[in-house]
Amino acid sequence: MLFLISAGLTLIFGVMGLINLAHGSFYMIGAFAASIVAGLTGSFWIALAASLCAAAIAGVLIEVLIIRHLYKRDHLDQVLATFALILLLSEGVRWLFGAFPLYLNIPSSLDGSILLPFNIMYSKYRMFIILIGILIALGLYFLISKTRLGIRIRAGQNDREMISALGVDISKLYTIVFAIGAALAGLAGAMIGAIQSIEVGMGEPVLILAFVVIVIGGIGSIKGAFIGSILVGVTDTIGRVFLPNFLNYFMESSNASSLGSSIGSMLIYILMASVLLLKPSGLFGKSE
Amino acid sequence: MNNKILNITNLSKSFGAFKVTDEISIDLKFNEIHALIGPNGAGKSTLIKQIVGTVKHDMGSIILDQEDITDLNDVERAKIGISRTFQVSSIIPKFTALENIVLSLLERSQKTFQLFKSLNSNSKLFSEAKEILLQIELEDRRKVIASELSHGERRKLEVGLALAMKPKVFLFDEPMAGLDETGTKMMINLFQRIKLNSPILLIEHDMDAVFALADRVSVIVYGKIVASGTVKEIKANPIVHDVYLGYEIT
Amino acid sequence: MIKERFFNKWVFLLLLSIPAIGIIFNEPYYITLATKVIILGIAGVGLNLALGYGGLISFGHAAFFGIGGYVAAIMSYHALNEELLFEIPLAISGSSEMLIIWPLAIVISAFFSLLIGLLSLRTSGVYFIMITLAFAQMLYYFSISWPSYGGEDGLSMHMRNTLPFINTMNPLNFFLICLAWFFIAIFITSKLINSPYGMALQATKQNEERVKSVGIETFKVKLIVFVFSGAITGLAGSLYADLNRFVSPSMLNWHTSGEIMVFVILGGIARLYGPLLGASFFIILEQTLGLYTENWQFWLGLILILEIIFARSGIMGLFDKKNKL
Repeated sequence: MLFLISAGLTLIFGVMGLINLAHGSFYMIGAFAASIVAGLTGSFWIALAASLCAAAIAGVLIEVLIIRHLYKRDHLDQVLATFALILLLSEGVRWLFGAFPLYLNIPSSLDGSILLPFNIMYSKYRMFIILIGILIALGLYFLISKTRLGIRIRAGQNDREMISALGVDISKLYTIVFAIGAALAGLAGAMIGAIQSIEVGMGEPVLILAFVVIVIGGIGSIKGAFIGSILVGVTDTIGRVFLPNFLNYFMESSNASSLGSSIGSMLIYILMASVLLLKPSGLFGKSE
Repeated sequence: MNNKILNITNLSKSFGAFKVTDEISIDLKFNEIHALIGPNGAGKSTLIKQIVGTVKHDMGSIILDQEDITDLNDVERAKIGISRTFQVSSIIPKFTALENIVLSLLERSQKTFQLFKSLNSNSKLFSEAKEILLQIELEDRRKVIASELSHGERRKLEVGLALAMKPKVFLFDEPMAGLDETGTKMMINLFQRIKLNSPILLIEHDMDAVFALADRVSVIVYGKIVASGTVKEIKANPIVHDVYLGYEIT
Repeated sequence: MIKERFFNKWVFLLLLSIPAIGIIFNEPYYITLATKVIILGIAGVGLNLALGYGGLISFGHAAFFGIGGYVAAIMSYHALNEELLFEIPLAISGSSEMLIIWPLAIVISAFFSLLIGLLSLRTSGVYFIMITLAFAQMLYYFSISWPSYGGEDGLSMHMRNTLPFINTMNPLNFFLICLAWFFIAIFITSKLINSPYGMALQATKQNEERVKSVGIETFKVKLIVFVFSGAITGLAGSLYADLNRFVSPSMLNWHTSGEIMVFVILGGIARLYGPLLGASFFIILEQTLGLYTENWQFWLGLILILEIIFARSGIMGLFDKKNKL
């Protein structure tokens, strides 16, 4: 889940050297598109496809209109411009669809739970999300290591001038990469939309998490994004669920649960800080 | 007991399987210019980086003025008295020539962490900086923004930054590259004067300058020192002729 | 430069005229608005120090803004409750005295910026941006989930904190207090950047490798500016809490970091009065666009993007084209 977003983000960052704060907006766009299309057609699957397309189209538009001007700028300009994009897109969506949250229904085929080994009940839909996540991880791995596009992307990561010298249309390549990244985020947004409510600003907490993931994993590394998202997911769960229980042994319960949840919410950042202390460029990042 | 101010033994560094410097031992005596020559990619600049500490060596030791500095980082080494110039001019682009020199004076005069005293009230810093600009013949260009200086002027400024630190040793990485004849002449005169205070380890491709200046010459090829001696010895050395095949040594 | 000074004067007169108009027409709202501009300007001055002069792109200055705010609010909360803030190791009670709260806000936010700086300055570039962002978010989530001081709902202050002999509830008085702090912040900044240290700082921004090679510990240089920057922003936070008599986790949110950064950039980076100008522009935009449309942030985003793409040196840059940065 988190991996989808982080993968898109790290792809954009690694290949194009661009910090995209507005990535969470694609997540939001995907979710909105899915819920609207689902409302019109009644089909969850068409809605998923629509979210992919909508986010990809938005990605292309934004790349061509705005992002293109920023590649040669420093990080500060990129941060600011994409921050401005968030304002623009969030308000734009609120304008069009209002501030009320929307919902997306889980298709009946994925409703209910399944019984896993060890008698654990797990929601079918969450299993589905995990499955898609793994599929996309494999797909991206294949795309990057086996196809022509992948070779170009890797070349672009290493040396921008070289691939343009090789006659690859670099601006087209960037647009494609940006669109892929956006589409992944859009898909993630649509899928999460069936669990949470869909509203403006939903992308932001996720974006921050995605940043943590790629900082831990190492910027530009898809493998890092995968490992990082698992690490962050597990840490977060431990922090939220187990820590309050654990602290219960030491102090009275109301204090324990409040302290536990406070520390729990900070745990992933503590994780990130400790990773950076040991390896300043992330687990799988290239050392400078 | 010894007359060596800088003594480097068995310094090695490899990137993967590739040995950039392979057990290099080299020293620098008081009042001398020790030139380091060799083809491009021989590991000269990497050696400089290892001596100043920006590249971590794998093994070997560096002793400066009887003090083992092997485990110090780059800033600590610079403070103790190693000063370098960069192969590609590296200056503070938006500062004037004078300000660049003043920056280089800060640490020695322990003013870096004067937080609230006005810089302009430190008139001593500025007069000292002007003297250094005189030495490198840039006095009349002192108010020019460094990024607008010509290439040759920037090379001079590089040397000026090193001078300002009054280090124990100088490491000059191709200071003459791209200089015209008068510029080179000025540098040669300057180096001959400053070596009396602090010896110079000089990397240079301009052979005329090397032969005019160097008290000793070492030849480095593929990360190894293949020959070492006076200018005369080096000129006569057959290995050097092999290495510099096609390169006129007069 | 002459033009810049000329321009600063005008901005300043305008700012002073707003409370004057407020008094004449008996509209205290305008005074409050001008006070807000000043406070946000102080926060911007703080960030400008690290960002503009030190080249440290901190996306986590909301942390210091929020810390300052919470210091003010928590102190006055305890003063009201007459509960002790700490019993161990020292018995410290709350206080609603600004003369106590200000130094405390400064010291505590300086302490946090030291801590955050020590960790994040080990990294550079993008990692630095992200790690400062993450630290701020960490405090944000902490403030949401920590229920003692209001959690998500924030914490209201019963009264504005007080000063001896001065009625701080009077909008004009409070405006003048903030203005005084603004000048102190500007004074400190200009002292810092014109000192030998300031030279090392600005050189580090341009070519860190070179600065290291002349023997200057750039880590220490950057850490010092980060702490000053955090402390100034923290002070602004405590004033902001007093202005609104309310603090909430949103002060710590990354939107706040982004907005402070917008003030700095809008006004023109590494210019002393730039942040104030940026903050004025921001508030004016909010007020005027807000009249016509609820979605004023949409237009703000648009203006910002256009500014970044076309007019890179900020508002001051438009008036002062010769002074290239």
